[in-house]
Order: sequence, then structure tokens, then C-alpha cells
Amino acid sequence: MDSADVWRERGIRDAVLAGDTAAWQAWYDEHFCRLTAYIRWRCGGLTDIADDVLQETWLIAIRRLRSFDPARGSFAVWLSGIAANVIRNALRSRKRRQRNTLPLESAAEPAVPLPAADEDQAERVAEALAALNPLYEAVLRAKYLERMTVETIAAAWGESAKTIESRLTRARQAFRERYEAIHE
Amino acid sequence: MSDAPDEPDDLESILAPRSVADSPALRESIRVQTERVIRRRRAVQRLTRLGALAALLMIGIGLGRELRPEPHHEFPPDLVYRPQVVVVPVVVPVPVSEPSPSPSIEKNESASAPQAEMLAEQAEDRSESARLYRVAGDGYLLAQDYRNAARCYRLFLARAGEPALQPEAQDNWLLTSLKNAAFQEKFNVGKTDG
Repeated sequence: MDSADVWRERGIRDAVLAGDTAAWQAWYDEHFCRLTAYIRWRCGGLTDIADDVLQETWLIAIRRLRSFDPARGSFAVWLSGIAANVIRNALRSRKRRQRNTLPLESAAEPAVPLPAADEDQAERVAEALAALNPLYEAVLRAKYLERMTVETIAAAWGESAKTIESRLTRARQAFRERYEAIHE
Repeated sequence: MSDAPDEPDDLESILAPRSVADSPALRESIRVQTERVIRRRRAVQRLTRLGALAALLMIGIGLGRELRPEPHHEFPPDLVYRPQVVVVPVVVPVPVSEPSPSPSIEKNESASAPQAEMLAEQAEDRSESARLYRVAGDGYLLAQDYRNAARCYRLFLARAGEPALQPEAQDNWLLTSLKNAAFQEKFNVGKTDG
């Protein structure tokens, strides 16, 4: 993020902190779609928790806006960090709820239908992503969510394509291990 | 690089973003909630500013009261001792400078002060002249004509001689003072001569 962006985001932050709702609306509209896509991707398609996470993330962001420092990262990165923490907490709560809830149907009931299988996969994706190293998560996100090529990622991050390729390989491997380890 | 499009990627099916329809209602709901937080924060900021101003004002007023010199302490009326002044009429005997008639005046008691003075000037007998001058002095004093009264009393003392300088109980204040002055004068003259 160049200095012009830093100054711009600092100005918007100060305006919002001073109570300027128009500035907030513009900022919110600018980042809403990107953050929504990220949260849905991180939740692996679990739309029920994705919507809660989205709402919780925005509310946390507006309440803690004073702590946002544009010099340390863009607003989008800051929002993603909040969302990642909220997702981890949401997944923990979901697992706790599942442990404490007894199934109404007996084990002799037929196998779970397809939507439940989809949900199971989504849950595994979400948990695997939540358990990843942030660097691996970031490179997977750039590759699969933002559809960037290795060269584009390398240029954006200021690193060599070889480094990014290597990191992507390790990230895939780590994700695969965690994904397969869950529910086994 | 190895990121060629034709490279098989088994994670593509898992990690590719799923197309989920946007929910305008959710977006609007979150926007309203966040704007409510902003408005609440703005209200709190205004209240805080107002509170700070009010606190400053109160501190200023308090300091002003503390630093202002107080002319006197105000006490409740029931704690203040106020002496009650009761006016009691007291009868004070005031010596009246009314000359008491000497036994020798009886003869010309009805004469006025100027007439007595006239008779005193014409009297051949020195003691009679002195007596009449005293009567004239008393008359002038009664009429509050102090100048003529003093003049007549001086003539009386001159005619009566040294025995008249002795103070007597019936002497009025003017005659007493003239006797004292004459005595002092005589005393000083004697001192100077000696």
C-alpha cells in the first residue's frame, strides 16, 4: 500500500471516528463484497456461520476502528484478520455445540443425505483453513479465491515466483494433511 | 513456472469459491447496525465534550469563589450576637448656671442688668458698686449675654478686691472661671516680682 492509500484510509478512518456516516457507507460498500467472498471461502460454504461471521466482523471492525493503523496494513487486510479470528471462534463454538447435542436419530438410520455430506466437506475445509499457518492460508487464498497466478502473487508481495511456487506447494500439502485428518 | 493452467490441481474443486447469491437484506442490516454504532459514538463524544466543558465551567466558578476575598463571614442570624439596646431614660441632674441671688442683691432685685450696671457706675460706695456689678453680671448671664456678663464680673472683682477672689459655693461657672483667671494672673505677677 503506497503512502497515498495510507493517507486516504487514515482520512476515512478519522472521518468515521468523528461520526461521518457517509464516509463509512462509502468505505463499507468498497469492502463489503471482497470481505463477504473471503468469509464464505474461509467457511468452506457453511452459509449459516458465514453470515454470522460477516455481521460479527463488521461490528467488531466499527467498534475497534480506533485501533486500525493504515501504516501497518490496508483496511482490507485488517478486516480479513478480524474475520479469521471470528471464524476460528465460530468453528470452535460449532464443534462444542455438536459435541453437547445428542442426535435424535439412532445409528441404525440410513446414511446422511447429500446436503449433509456437502456440509461435512465444508466444515472440513473451514477447519483445515483455520488451522493453517497464516502464510499458507494467504497464498491459498490468493490462488484459489482471488484467482491470481503465481507471477501476479509474486509481483504483489514483492517476492520471487519460485518462492511463491514453493510456498504454494507447501500450503497445498499442509491443507491436504489437515483436511484429511479431520473426522478420520 | 509450475502454475500452468493445464497442471492438475486436486484442490481446485475443494477450494474454489462457490457462487452464493448476495443477500441485500443482510448487507443493509449490517450497514444499519454499524451506522448505529457510529451515531452512538458521536453522541457519546458530544456528551463527553459537553461534560468536559461543564466541568471546566464548574472548576472556574469554584476557583473564582475560592480566590475572591470575602468581606465578612456570614453567619446564620440565630448565631450572631446582637446586643439589644434598651433606651432607659435616666434623669441626670444638670447644674444650672442660674446665679443664685446673693443676699446683697435683694435691694435692686427688680432692676435689669443694664440698669444695675448703670447704678454700679454711679454708686459711690465701692462695695455697693461691686455688689451691683455682680447683679448686672448675673442679669447678663441669665440673658446669655456672656460678653457683658464677663465684663461686669471683672468690674465686680476689681471693685470687691482680693477677698472676692475666694471661690464660693454659689458662684456660677463664668464667675468661677474669671476668679481663677484673676487668681492665676495675680499669682504670676507675684512670682515675676519675687
